[in-house]
Amino acid sequence: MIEIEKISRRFGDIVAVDDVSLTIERGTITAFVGTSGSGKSTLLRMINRLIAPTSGTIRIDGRDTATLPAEVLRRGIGYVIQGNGLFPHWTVARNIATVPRLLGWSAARIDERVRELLALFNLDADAYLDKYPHQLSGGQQQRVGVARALAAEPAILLMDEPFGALDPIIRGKAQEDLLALQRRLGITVVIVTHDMEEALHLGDRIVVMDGGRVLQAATPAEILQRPAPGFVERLVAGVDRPFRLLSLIPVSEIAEAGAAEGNPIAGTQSLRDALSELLWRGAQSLPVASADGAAKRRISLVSILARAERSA
Amino acid sequence: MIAGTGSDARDDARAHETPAAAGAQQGAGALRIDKVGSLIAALALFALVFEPFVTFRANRIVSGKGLGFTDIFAAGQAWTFLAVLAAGALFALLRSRPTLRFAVGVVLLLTLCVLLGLVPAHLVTADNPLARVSPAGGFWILFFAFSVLVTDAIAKLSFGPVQDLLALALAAAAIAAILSSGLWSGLSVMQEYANHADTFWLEAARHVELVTGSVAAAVLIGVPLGVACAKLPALRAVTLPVLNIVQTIPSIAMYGLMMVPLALLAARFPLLGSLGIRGIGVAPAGIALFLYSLLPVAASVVVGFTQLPHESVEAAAAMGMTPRQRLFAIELPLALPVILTGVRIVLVQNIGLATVAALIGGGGFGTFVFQGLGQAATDLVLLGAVPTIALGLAAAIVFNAVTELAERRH
Repeated sequence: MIEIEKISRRFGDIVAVDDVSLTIERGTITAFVGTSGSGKSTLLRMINRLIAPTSGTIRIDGRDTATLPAEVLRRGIGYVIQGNGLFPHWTVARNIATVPRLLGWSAARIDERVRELLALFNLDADAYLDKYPHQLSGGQQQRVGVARALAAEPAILLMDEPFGALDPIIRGKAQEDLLALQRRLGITVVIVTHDMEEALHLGDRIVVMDGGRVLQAATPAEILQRPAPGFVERLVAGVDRPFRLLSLIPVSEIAEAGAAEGNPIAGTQSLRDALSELLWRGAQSLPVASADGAAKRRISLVSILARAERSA
Repeated sequence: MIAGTGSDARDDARAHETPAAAGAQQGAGALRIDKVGSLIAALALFALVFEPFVTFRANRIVSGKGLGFTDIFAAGQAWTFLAVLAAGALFALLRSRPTLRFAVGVVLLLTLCVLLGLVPAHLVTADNPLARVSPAGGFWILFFAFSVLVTDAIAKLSFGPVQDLLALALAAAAIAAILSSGLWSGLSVMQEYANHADTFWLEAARHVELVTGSVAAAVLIGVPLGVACAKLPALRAVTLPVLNIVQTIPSIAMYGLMMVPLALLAARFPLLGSLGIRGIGVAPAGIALFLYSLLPVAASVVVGFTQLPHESVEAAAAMGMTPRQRLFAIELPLALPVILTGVRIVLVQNIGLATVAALIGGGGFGTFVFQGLGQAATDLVLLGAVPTIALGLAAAIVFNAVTELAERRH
């Protein structure tokens, strides 16, 4: 758990982060969203003390980060930067081994870990170990950047616009990979992005910032349905709100008793999937797949449309 | 470049359906004019027609008269030589493969050297034993033109560092062979060498010592200074302008400025004097060269650091590297190519500047230059100047090759 308490950071006369308090739960993905100059990157960098706070405290698992030497703190926190920040004069293997080497791991253990990570990121170890960053594609560089951040098995991963330099298709793939990775490793991820769509897609919790202050910190559904008036409202107006919202809600939540024609849809799929299916088939309702013997349930167009309304 | 267009032309030719068209295409390619080659040809033909090949003087000091091939050799020989060199110029004019151009250029340069060696036997006879023969404008222009032919071919062949070093070694071997064969011993410069053979190699060693010592000191002090300037803007704001001013002090004035404080120091502390720190001699020359080197080295470090990829530097900090680890593992290695460029500039600069050191008794090749100026003996000036130029060229080639080899190991 990361507890941010009354954190401020001034650069001369400019207040970059203004008295922010926030709690980030263990094992979740939190997205800081805002325009440039909103203070989101500064806030992220204060977590691993790349930037020292002017005032306030940050505790990780109850321990004040100011009590640790900055280097020791940072070796325990993964960090991914836009444009990957790989060291161009080091091979892929050496790049990934950065933090383990700083921690003094044995060569055998480092080698084993590097191979394990390359496998995790679908990179053939023998082909890529000795390559230099400039020999990789943008997507591969990005994956190596994340592998390097995770090398020493940190419990926390900080990401600053990690997908900003990728083209849309690779970017979508990288986002899915991150979600799968986070579920698999159970790490705490804090990601900074200026893209509300990305934040809604990835975040368990979204922190909207502007002018150094937190305007709203809430789940994606809350942000969509009850955005704070003003800036947050304008920000979410840019995304396809009803569809976004529907994609966050599973079919099982509003399925009703009753029968319907056609192939059943899984209860774990989203309302957006169900709507898409209904529109395509030109049907009013779909059966929801259920275990043998359970009562028959269905999902209807009317109920989906009602759920997509703002006041729901 | 040209090699590339040449192969393009061949691809074009293959793209044509009929062999006749392909033949026409290749025929046109064979007759095309080379851009650099036209300059080489113009220079060479100008030198052959208008410029004297050698200068002939009745003795060492009187002013001489220029002589062309027809004045030197029997008519038949003279026209043969002229024809060979003119053919070389025409060859350069027309486009051809870089390997061929390289080979022909080398042969032309060697021919030129041999021809020069043949001249004294024709002009210096028993009744004028003090007569002197030295290369004149024609020789120098031809030598320059054919050197361009060779270096242009080398550029197109894109030699790697190993090939560069090999070419340099071969050139050095060829020069050594010509010098030791006695081919040139009739030339005035070589007569000056014979008169100064006892001091020539001493001064050469002194020249190299002055340069290596001052460059080594500049690297030892300049790199840390540059790093400090890169990290501390306040220090940079003071240091770089001061070094800039140092850089603009004319070298003779710099040596003059060195003399007074060093002479005072030596007078006050005799121990320093016995260590060679005096108003004149090697010490002020070395210190002046060191001061001239400081700005290029320190400034190249600062430039290297400002060009560091920002993300890599931030990532290094974020991974938990200490400032020291960042400096030695990330920042210095990434800035190294720029720093080495600065060191190379200083190396070549100091090889040239060190000649001025002779003015204050610092020794080096400059000794011959200034003696020659004093005696109005041009050939003695050449004895100092030509080795300096050769040393500068060789140093630049070796330094570049070693740098490239070092970077390639990444």
